[in-house]
Parts: sequence; C-alpha cells; structure tokens
Amino acid sequence: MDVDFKFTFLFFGDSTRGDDLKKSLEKLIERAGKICEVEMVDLSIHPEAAAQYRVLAAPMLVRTHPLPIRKVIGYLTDLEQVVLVFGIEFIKFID
Amino acid sequence: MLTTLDIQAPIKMPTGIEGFEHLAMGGLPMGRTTLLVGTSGSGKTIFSAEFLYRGITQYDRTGVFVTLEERPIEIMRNVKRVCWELVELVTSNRLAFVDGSPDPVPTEEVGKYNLEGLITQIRYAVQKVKATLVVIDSIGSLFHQFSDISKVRLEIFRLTEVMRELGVTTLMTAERLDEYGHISRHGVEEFISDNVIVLRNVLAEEKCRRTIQVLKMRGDVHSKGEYPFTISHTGITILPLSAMELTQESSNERIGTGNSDMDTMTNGGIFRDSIFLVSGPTGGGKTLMSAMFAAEGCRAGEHVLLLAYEESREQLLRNASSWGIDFAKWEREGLLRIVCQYPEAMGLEDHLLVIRRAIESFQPRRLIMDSVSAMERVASVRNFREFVIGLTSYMKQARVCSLFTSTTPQLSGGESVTETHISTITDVIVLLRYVEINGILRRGIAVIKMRGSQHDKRIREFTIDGDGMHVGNPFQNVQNIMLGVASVTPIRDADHFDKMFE
Repeated sequence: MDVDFKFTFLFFGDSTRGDDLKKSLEKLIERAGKICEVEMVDLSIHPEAAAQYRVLAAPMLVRTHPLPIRKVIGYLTDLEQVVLVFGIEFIKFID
Repeated sequence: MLTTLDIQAPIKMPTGIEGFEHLAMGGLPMGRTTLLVGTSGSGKTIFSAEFLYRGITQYDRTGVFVTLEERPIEIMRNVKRVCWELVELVTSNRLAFVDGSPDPVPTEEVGKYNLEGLITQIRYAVQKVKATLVVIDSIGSLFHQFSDISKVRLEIFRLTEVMRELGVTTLMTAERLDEYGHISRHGVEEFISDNVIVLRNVLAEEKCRRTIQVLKMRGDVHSKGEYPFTISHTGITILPLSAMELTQESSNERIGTGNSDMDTMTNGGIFRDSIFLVSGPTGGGKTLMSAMFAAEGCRAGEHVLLLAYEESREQLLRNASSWGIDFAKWEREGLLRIVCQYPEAMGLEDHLLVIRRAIESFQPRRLIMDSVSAMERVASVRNFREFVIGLTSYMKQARVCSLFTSTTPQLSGGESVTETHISTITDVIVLLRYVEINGILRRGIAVIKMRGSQHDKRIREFTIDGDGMHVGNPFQNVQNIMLGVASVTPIRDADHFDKMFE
C-alpha cells in the first residue's frame, strides 16, 4: 500500500508537544482517506540532522513526499495554515 | 553572578590582521563576542574571513564560519579573490561552515518557534573541529528570514551566551545603513556586546576611503579614532598614523647628497635616516637634485627607489642624461628602480601600500618621491596629512634616506601647501627659488632647516649646466628671495634673516 504523505518533524527534547502534533496530523490526513508517515527526529539526540534539513528555527515540519519539499516552522497552532501549505486542501474542518 | 574573571580585563587574542593589534591593544577579547558593524561593502566579510584564516594558518587554531547571508560556496569564492584558499582548511577539518543562508525551500511560519536549530548547528560544528574561533556573518539576515523580531533579538543574545559557555572568541557582523549614524540597523548592539568595531567606506574627493574604528572595547584604553585601511591580495592592511611610535634611534652617519657644494652647505652631507625636502617652482632644479641624489647612491652600490608621479620614465631618463647621469645603466645593473604612477590612479592608502611593497621587495637605502605635491592634489587635506605621516613613519622605520620634492605654486617664491603639512616632519629643508635681478632670472638655494646639525644659513646663487648643479656665492644686497619677489636694495641682507626663519 503506497503512502500518500511523508513528513519529518524536527524538534528538541520534550516530545509531548511533538506527539500531540503527530496525532493531529495523522488524524487530519486519515479523514481525507489518505495514509501518512511521520518521522520524529529529536535534534538534541541527533544534532547532525539540523544541518541536513537546514533547521535554524525549531520545531520544523517537513513534507518530504510528495515533492516538492515544503517546510513549516513553529508549533502548529494554526492547522488551517498547515493544511494550506502542505496542500491537504480537501480536508474540511467541521467542528 | 560575578566571578573574578568578569572583573579582570579580558585577555586579548591576536588576529594577525596587519595593524589591528596596535589599534585594539593586542587583538580581540578572548572568549567574548565582538560586534563588527559596517555598511554594505565595507569589508565585514573579508575582515571576518581573514580573522579565521590567519587564526587557523598563523596561530594554529580551528574555527567555524557561520554564514547567514551568503552560501558557503559564495564565501569561499569571494575570499579566493583575495588569495586565500578556504577549501583546503575545510577538508583538513580546521574550518567548518554552518550554512544559515536563506533556505531555497519555501518555509512558512505557523506557530511559535525559537532559533535552537541554529544554535545547535553552531555548537555541533564547534565541537566537531574543536574550534576556538567563530564568525557569524551577518545577524541582519536573521531579521530578514524570520518575522518574530523580538524573538530573533532574544535568540541572538542567547547565542552569545552559548558562545561564551563554549569558550570561543566570536566575531559577529551586523549591517548598518549610515556611515555615521546609528550603530547598527536592528538595534541589537545595546545588549550583544561591550566590544564594537566599525568599518566605514566613505566617498571623499571622488575616492573610496576605508576606515576602521574601535568604537568601544571593554576594560581598555584604546585608540579612539578612525584609521584608514586597504584591502589587497594579502588581505587587510591598517595604516599607522601618528599613534605609531618611532622606536629606532637617530643615526649620526652622514651620506652625500650627490653634490659636493650641497654637502658643504649641510656641513658634511645629510644624516643617513633623514627625510629631505626640496621645495621649488617647476623647473627650479628639484629634478636635478633628485637625480644627483640618486646618482650618489648608485655610485656607492646602493639600491635607489625613484617614485615618479609627475613625469614618465622616458622623460626622467632624458632629463638625467642631459646632466650626464645615466639612469638606464643603473636600472640594468639593478641598482635603480623607477616606479611611475598617476596620482589619480588610486586612493592615497593604496599608494602607500604600493610604496611599502616596493620598499620591502627592493630594499632601497635611498628613496626619491617626485613629487609629494602631486599626491596633495588628489586628496583632502586630512587624508594627505595622514598619508605623509604614514609614509614618513614607515621610511624612518625602514631606515631609508628619503628625498621628497615639493612644487611651490609661484615661480618667485611663496609657501607651498605641502610644506605646511610636512615641514615639521622633515629633517632637512632646502628651498630653490628663481630670483629676478636686473631683468635676468637667476637661481637661489638655501638650507632652511637641518635637524641636529649646523648648516650654511646664507642664500646662495646656483647654476645648472651640462655637468649638473654648481652652487656659488651668496646673494648680496638682495632681499625677499625666499618670501616674495626679490628686489635689490642697499640694505644688508643680514638684517632680514629673521624673516626667513619665521
């Protein structure tokens, strides 16, 4: 089964907010009947990844698939914006 | 919490940048952040790159270059033009780049963030190469890349704290918009650093003039003014001014001027390390005196450097040969080197650098500058004076006996502007003048000043022929030879000597 979206979430240390994000993102995409993969990268354990993804501001969420690569920074308080950036246009917020 | 370290004056780290240690009393404060501000194109990146390059190659350190504006490849390409090879330093793990330049991938801000990513990358790079030097160029770019200005400011401050914890010496560059206005564009300087250096690039008299100033440096009494500098293929050279101390002792050894009459007038020739000013109207005999001075040196097997700013090499050779002096022969023998330049070709600081290079490579014992007035015409008064001070300081240090010619504006006399500025610096001053007597133009010569020695105080008549200069008898009953239009009077000229020495 092919994966529709692949994300990498780069953050520091305390991953509770990160886990919340992961859950919200997965839920959003499931609603649209899509399958996604979210890779969690803790930069305090893997600092070399910061250079690889050009992380200056954290946290950063990167959509690695489908191309082109897109990035958002900051804790995702504005999910509508996230949706727009990543092109998950068909998701409607009912509640 | 204050520790003893905070109270003591910080130790300085030498940069290896020419002239900087003198300006900054030893170098940059070790283990601290220094802010380097300047307008676009003022030399911040070159200065930072040189700081790292010399720190690594001359002082055996390692460093990290955090580039926030340009990509690493662009930095390496730019400094290659200044003849430094950074690639080799990277491959040998002595230099690491952190690429914080604007991301080509579009990035949206959707929530709260901090710059921990950047800080982590820097920390990681510092630890990887065990760096003691860090450059961050330039923080303005962070304000362009991120919209949360207050957050960026806070994070920059946090960054300096992290650098301090890591024990590295940091040079952080920031942009400014005016040469003489606010310190920096984004108002970060208030809390970033106690140490601020300003680079300026001012357009003055149609020339670009670069200056560096130590605006503040914690714990130190430092030189407060602006110092001119140039950028060449060896990097940055900051030019010394009057602050430079002359530590060598004066020489008592005398050398020949090239004319035995002149030697007699100066009581045995001029001192070995003196600066000798010959002033006179155009055609008055200055070029001849220079040629004789050069000939004397070459005959003794010395290297003579002739800096010509008014005539071409062909003209000089022709003039000299008309007096029986063969410049071409000495050039062939490697004793004489003639350097011709248009004064307009570059700024005075660059001229000074060219002259210093020529002295370093050719090692002359005698130097002629024909003429110093030519330089005066292409610069501001202040600029010219700085140039002369820098030049003469260097001559003294290099122990070169120098002859400067200066052109007076009037044929009959009057003071040249050059003399106003350099008469206190020169050791010997000789004036040449035309004297109109009974419808004939005659020539007068006088030694006005000679530091450390007696000299002939009379104004003598001289002639020029195919064999050179011949100094004859003093003028009798003629006054105002040096100060104005000469006139014959029955009054003894002895009564007017005071006027001459005013």
